[in-house]
Amino acid sequence: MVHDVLKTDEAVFAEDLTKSFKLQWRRGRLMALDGLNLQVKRGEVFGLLGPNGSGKSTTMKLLLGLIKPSRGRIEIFGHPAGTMEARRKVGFLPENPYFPSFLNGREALRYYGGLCNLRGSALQDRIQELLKLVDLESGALRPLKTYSKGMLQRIGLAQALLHDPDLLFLDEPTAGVDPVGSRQIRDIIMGLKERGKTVVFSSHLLEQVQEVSDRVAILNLGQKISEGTLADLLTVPDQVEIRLKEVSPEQEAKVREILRAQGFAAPEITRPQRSLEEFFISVVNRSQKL
Amino acid sequence: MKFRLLALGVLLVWGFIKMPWESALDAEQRKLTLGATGQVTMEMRDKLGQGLTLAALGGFRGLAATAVWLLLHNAWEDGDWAWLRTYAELGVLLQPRDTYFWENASWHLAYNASIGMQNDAKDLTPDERRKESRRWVDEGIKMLQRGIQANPEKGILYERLAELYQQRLGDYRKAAHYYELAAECPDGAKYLPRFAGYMLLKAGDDQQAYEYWKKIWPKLSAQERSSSQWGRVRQEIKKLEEKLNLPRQDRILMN
Amino acid sequence: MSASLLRIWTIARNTLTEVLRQRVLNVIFLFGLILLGGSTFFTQFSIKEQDEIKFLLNLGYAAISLTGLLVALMGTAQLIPAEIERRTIYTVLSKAVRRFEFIAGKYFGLLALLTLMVLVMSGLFYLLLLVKEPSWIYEISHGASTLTERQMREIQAVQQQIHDPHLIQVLLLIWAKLALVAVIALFFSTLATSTIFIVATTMLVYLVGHLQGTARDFWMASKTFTGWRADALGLLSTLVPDFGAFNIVDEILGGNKVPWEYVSQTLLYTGIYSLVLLGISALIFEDREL
Repeated sequence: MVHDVLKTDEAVFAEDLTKSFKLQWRRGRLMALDGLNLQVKRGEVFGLLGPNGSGKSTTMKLLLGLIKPSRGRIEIFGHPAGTMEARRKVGFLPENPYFPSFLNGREALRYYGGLCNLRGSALQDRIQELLKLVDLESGALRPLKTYSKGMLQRIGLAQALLHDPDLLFLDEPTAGVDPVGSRQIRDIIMGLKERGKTVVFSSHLLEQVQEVSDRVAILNLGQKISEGTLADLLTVPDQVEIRLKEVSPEQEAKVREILRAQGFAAPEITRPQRSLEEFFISVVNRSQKL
Repeated sequence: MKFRLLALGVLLVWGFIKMPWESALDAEQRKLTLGATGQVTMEMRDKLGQGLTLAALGGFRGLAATAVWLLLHNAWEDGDWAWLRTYAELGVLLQPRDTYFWENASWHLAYNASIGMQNDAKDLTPDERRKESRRWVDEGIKMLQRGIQANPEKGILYERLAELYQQRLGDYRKAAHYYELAAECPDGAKYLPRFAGYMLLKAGDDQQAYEYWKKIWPKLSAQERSSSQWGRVRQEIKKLEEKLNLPRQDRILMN
Repeated sequence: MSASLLRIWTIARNTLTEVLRQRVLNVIFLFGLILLGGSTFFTQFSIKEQDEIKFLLNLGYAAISLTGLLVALMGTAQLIPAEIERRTIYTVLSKAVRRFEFIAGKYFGLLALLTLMVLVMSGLFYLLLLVKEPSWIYEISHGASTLTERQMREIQAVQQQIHDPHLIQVLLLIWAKLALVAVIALFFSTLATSTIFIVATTMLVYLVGHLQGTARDFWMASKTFTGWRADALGLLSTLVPDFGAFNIVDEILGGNKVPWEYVSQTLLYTGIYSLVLLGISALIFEDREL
């Protein structure tokens, strides 16, 4: 088996990517994407954001090779999107459960594994490994139509990882999932990043995006309107935040004095809050341990 | 877009290639079915209607034939001869290569309908009734003749025709002729050659009968000649030889 | 090459599993009822046992044909549209699966179902005949220990009818016809999405296909028709298969011997036609935007 050498260091390279659809009944054309330029580097966690109708799902379909661009090009690790080489490198977690509902979890993984040309004991071992990773060992034999949304997302992750792809595309991976499951999925994403995988995902849950992404791009009306690292985009340029641990009231008063002396008239001094999510999870986990 | 054009191209090319093959298959089918099924032939007007009906059945002729069989049976029980005739025609149209409908249709026409006419048509004079009755017998004969055209290799239809002439019309000469034809078919019953001869005797054609026995007697095996059935024939031959006073050298049997 | 075959096999197996779990095979019960009903009903209509068996054979094979036709038609028509509608096709085609492999796998999966159905139905039919055989023989012999020559001939005829090995030819031809109808439905399903439309057009082709021979004859003789009528007939003959070839089934059921050579030729014609249409369907599907 020829080992596919990664042609470039760019997981995704899109140049002047344009897609227009012909509308039925002579309503003209719809420009879903207009001259998109996008680059995702290997090993990045990249967030693709945008309101509904911004062209995110069109970009996804182009990435996966399900449709062809009207203009421009899109490449996955140097291979044109949609070719067999490109598709071998991509794992896809779809938004809603686009899985055959008449199978159970294990059978579904066997089916998709067969499509990735895995079989026999190699396939069995891989399935076992992935079921463990996504924590679905117990539910593997239940039919997919009985799965909760969280379970479906997890089995979806498992099938996306079957052929050990270098690039993962996740469409709304935590939508409709409870906070605990959501955390699990995000931990898996970080784990993948540590192993050198590239992850591109789209989500409406902006706090979650903020937590895991290295870089994001924001689309609207078929065009990219912003792109950059979170640090670059979100840092409020003219402010500084200082966090101190175990400050006594006297020390706090002293700090206020110093700041006033330096000309800072009304510094904002508050008690930072944990995120509600962190709190929720720790409380739930504690109650489960009891 | 280019794939779609290619697809269209392949479709058309294949369309042209397949036609001679289809014609060859059709010709072979016509040979096997002696032209009675397969595609309809050139005469358009009357055959097209049949062709369209058969096409509409889409290969379920057997099913339609089964339905016709039931309807025909009912018509017979009801004494509804006109409808019986219609169903018979339908039946032979659907299954011309099966002797069933030819046989049974002619039986219903030449026997049941004919006799039914004789007995039941109270509004006709006795003379008219006889004519009608005879007409139905003729219809039965025509039916068998058409059946023989479609199935010339099957003995049963000749046999039924012979029976018709024998039993309904008393035309023993014709009966003999058809018994002989039936005997020549590969699936003909063993008794048919004998029947042909007996018919000739019944017709009073002693000379022809003798010519006939002379023709077939040498073809029999020794076992057949010594069997009881052919033993009667042997007696008949002897009788004829006496009756016709044939010279020694022309006789089949040695005393 | 073998990797491709493995993927086709995986999809085929999955398709078969799906239709089986959808309880499609329940339709066989309907078939069984028709047969049983017919067999008990026919007894009162026949004088000779041979006639009763003849019409029972007619009914049985027509029922197998009809049941198979229903499944071939409606099963195939929704094969691809359902996957597109439920979006499960995205998960499959985002993997390194070629489009033609998908089509082929789907078709062969359904063909496996049709084969299974024909086998089961014909098996049940044969069983029914075996069960009734003693009673038919009894009708002829009336339980007598010595039989007349006529009775022996009739009993032999009955046995020949039931155990006629040439009936296998009928089964093969029915199966081939179903395979062809299925691939025609598949062809239309690559062009359209409405199941009703696909079923209707396939049925139309099926009906017109029985007239194709007539059209072909007229066109090739081209004495009766000229101009646009001739072209129309020509076009018809080109586009539609000759379903009249299967009429040979009536000949076999009529008790006439048909050589295996002719049956094999017909099967070959159907096989090649199906492969060509399958290829054309794959070509059309290659371009399809999803």
